[in-house]
Parts: sequence; C-alpha cells; structure tokens
Amino acid sequence: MAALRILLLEDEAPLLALLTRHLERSGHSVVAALSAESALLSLETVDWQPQMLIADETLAGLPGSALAASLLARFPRLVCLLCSGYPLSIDALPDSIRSRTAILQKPFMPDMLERAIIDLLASNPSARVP
Amino acid sequence: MLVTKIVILFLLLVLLTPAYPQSTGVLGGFGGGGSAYDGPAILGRGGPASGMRGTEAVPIHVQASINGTYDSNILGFSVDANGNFNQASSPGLTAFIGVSGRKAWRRSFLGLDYSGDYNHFVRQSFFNGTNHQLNLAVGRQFGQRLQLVSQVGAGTSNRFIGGQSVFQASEIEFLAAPTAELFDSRSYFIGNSTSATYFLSRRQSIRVSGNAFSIRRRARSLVDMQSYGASADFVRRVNRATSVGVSYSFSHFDFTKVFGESDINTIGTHVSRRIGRDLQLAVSLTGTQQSTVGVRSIALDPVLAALLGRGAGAEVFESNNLLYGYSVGAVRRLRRSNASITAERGIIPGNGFFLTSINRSVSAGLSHNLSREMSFGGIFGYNRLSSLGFASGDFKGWTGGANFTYKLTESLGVNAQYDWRTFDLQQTTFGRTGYRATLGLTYFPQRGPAGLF
Repeated sequence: MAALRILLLEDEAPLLALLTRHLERSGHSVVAALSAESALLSLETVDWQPQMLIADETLAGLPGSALAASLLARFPRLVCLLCSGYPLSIDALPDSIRSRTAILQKPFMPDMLERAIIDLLASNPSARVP
Repeated sequence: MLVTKIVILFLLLVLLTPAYPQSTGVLGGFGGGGSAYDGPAILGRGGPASGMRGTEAVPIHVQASINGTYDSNILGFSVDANGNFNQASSPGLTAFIGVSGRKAWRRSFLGLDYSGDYNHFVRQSFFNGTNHQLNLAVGRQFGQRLQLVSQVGAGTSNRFIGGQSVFQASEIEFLAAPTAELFDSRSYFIGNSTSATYFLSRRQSIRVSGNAFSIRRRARSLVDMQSYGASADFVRRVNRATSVGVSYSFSHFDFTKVFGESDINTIGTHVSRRIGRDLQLAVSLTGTQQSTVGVRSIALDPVLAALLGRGAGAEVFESNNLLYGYSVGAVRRLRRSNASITAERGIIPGNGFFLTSINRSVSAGLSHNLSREMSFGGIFGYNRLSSLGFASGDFKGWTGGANFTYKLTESLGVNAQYDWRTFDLQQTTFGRTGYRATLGLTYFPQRGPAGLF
C-alpha cells in the first residue's frame, strides 16, 4: 500500500496514540487531532494536504461527518473513512460526500482498518496521487 | 528491516571473532584457564549460555536420532462444524538432528545450540513439517577490560510439547521467547541481544545491553509481537563465592493484529553465591513499573446489545502498575548427576492471547548417570500468567518429562522419552492435556547424548 498523508481524528487520547503509531508503522504520514477544531487548526500549521481523513463520527463538538463535508469540499482528491461505534449508514450522509466516504464500524482490528483503507483507495484512485 | 539489521549486526560480530588465540589481558579471557572474574557462574547475568549444559561448557558435537512417536491431543487453531476444537491423536515418526557446544579461544568464544526435526504424523498430516531452534552466540574481548557478547536466537515450531520443540532462553535471557502457547499452530521467533561488559577492576564490572525480538504466529487471531529493550547493570564480586549486583532494564512490547503496547521499567538487586564445590544459588528481587495501553473486547449490556445489534464491543484501556518480581535459582552438580530448580515472578509479553502478563513459574530438572551405559533425566515446570489488561482470568500450565538412554555402543543408544503438558484458562471451559511418547535410536558420534538440560 502506498504511503499516504492522513489526517486522523479521534477523541480518545490513548486510542488516538495507538492508531497514530499503527498508521506510521505502516508507512503513512499522520497528523493526529483530538477534535475537529484542533484538526482544522493543525491543517493551518502543517505544510501538506491530506489525502485521507480518518475520523470518529461521534465527537464532543463538530461530528466527523461535518468535518468531512468541510474538508472534502476544500480538498478535491481527499477521501474519508468515518468510524463509529454506533450504527451508521452511508445513506445517512450528505450526497456531496457519499462517493468519497466509507464507513468503518467500531470495534475494528488493525487488519480491518488496512482493508478499509485499501478499499477506499480502490474506489477513489485519484486519492493516491501524491 | 528489523531482521536485516539483526543479521548484519551479527555477521559483523562473527567476522570480528578471530579463530586463533591472542594474548590475554589481566582479567583473563573466555577460555584457557578461565577468567580472574570467576565468581558464581549461574544466573548472575542472563540465562544459561549457548553450548553449555548447566555450568559446564561442552565441545561442539553432533547428535541425531530417529524415533517412533505417539502424540495425544494435537490441537490446531481451528474448530469443527459444531464449534468444538479440532483435537486428535496420532502415531508418527520423527527424525532429529542437533549440533551443540562451545568453542573458546583466549579472547573469544562461539556458542551454538541448534536442533531441528521433521515430524510425520500418520493420522494428522496437516501437522507434518520441520521445527528448528537455533541459539548462536559470539563473544570477544577487546583489550583488557571490555567484552562484547552477541547472540541470535531464532526458531519455528508447530508443536509445543517436548524438550526439542520448546523455545528456550539462552546466553542473555530472551524475554519474548514463546513458551506458553495455547495451540499447535506454527510460530516463528527471532531475536538478538548484544551486550558490552566493562571491567572496572578484577571485582567490579558494568554491562550495557540492547535487544530486539519478534514473534509471528500463523494463526490469524493470535497476536504477533515485536519488542525492543535495553538494560544496564553493575556486578561486584564480594569474594570468590559471592557476587552482588544491581540492574535497570527497559522493554517495549508492540502487539500487532490488535492495538496495544506496553512499556516496562525494572530495577533489581541480585545476589549469587557458591556453597561448597557443588551448589550454586542465585536470588534476585525486582521492582517494575508497567504501562500498557490497548483495545480489548467487552460484553455489552443486553439493552445496548439489542440497540446495536451485536453482543460485544471494545474499549480502550490503560493499565499502570507497580509490581514486584523475584528469581530464585539453585544448581547442584555432583559427579554423576545435575539438579536445578528455579522460581520466578516477572513480566512477559504473553502467548498471543494473554498479552502483557505477570508470569509466575517454577521449573526443576534432574539428570543422572546410572552407569556408563544408562542415564536418565526429568524436568518439571509450572507457570501461571495473569494478564495485565488484555484478557481476564489466569492461564495455568504444567509440564513434565522424563527420558532414559541406554548406550548400545560408544556412539549408538536407545532412548525413550515421555513429555506431558496440561493447561487451562480460568473463566473459560478451554483446557488441554496432552502427551508425547518417544522411542528410538540416537547416534552420537563424538560424545554421549545430552540430557534433558
């Protein structure tokens, strides 16, 4: 799998750290954030455009899907993997983001995350372009 | 990448090891009459050394055997259509070869323990295959005060019963060696440990070491592991019979196939003492700070389960503990027999199901030469794992074994061996008892057959 620039959003700090290390060990470049607001702030301070957003849907502030809608409009080649411990259907998402978004049901194991990333890239090849 | 680095480092050390004698420093070397720093030999640093039997170095020698076997309760990582574990028994044939021993020069040594076997099961061909275990160590003395020792341990096995299939610790303890596996599912292990010992004087030395390990399990649901660590210690020889020391070590476990990792910091004090000519004792007390973070499965409340449509969920957990540990060991060598016993409490990275765990173990071994022709040996072990976060309940396991050898000629003998293992997991119905009985011929062209330990 090609190395990606990933913006990772998860509000449980220990899980965020574990996911970050796992993705970095897989060769990806990761910017991690505990909230949608800090994710947006991070994008202002780092000099790269994310290729993939991996975000928890259920957050204290702005939900993951709302952040996804904002960033997918801003970055045309960005794709998004929304994670949730609650039932979440792709049909419940706005039409504008559906084609570039996939759902990953929590709990997931590392191989399930990798499979979801591969499948999402397969359906959106433009996201692979550096 | 990790494996490549280990191999390159080890090859460099092999190339640096000369095959000819050199002058000896004031502290003596690895061979030629022994070092001036020869306090109690056991358990002072690390575990038993490659090419050693107890505290005795043996010349490099070859041993081969062919055996008829009977295995009960071979347990693969699979279930049948009813959800029951696939367990089966089978007669079989095993061909075994071992190369073991230690070659010492005045400033360097090479220690080798290799065993490999091919197992053929008449009724369980799925388990047919080879198992290998290699411990290879090189040591070199630089100048008068510095010694460097590096060891590679590697192996693969799909049968975790019997002395030849169990990974064993060696020159410097391999913390991560898989020794409490639940299934006869293939596992691969490779590790390196390299240490530098600096002799401050004839009585005092400091050592720093680094290590890295990796365990891969073919079963998809059993967790793999990578580890790295470093340690430092100081040892003082109080007199010819007694040594004392203090140590610090750090280990990091990374678990793959799940999200989880552990950091382990340990300090310890160590005393080893030789009592008379025959008995050696070693005692260590340790304190450990352990931090584990991971994701574990939990059963959901029935209402939530109905709401979400599934019965289990996952939660992120953090486990931080201050723990104590100990190690007490004794070795007794008599003219015709050896006996040893060790009791330990420490932290290990588990067996792929129980991850970072407290391990309490007791092991004992005995070998005795009844006559020039006959010898026997026996081992016993008990260990109990208590998971630090990833699983609940304890793993309890018992192992035992006995062998008997009768020399028909100077280089050919009949051997019989019986190995037994049982374990259970608390809070589950899972448990297992199995044995392996072996009868065959052993060829030992240069030396008599080695005992069980």
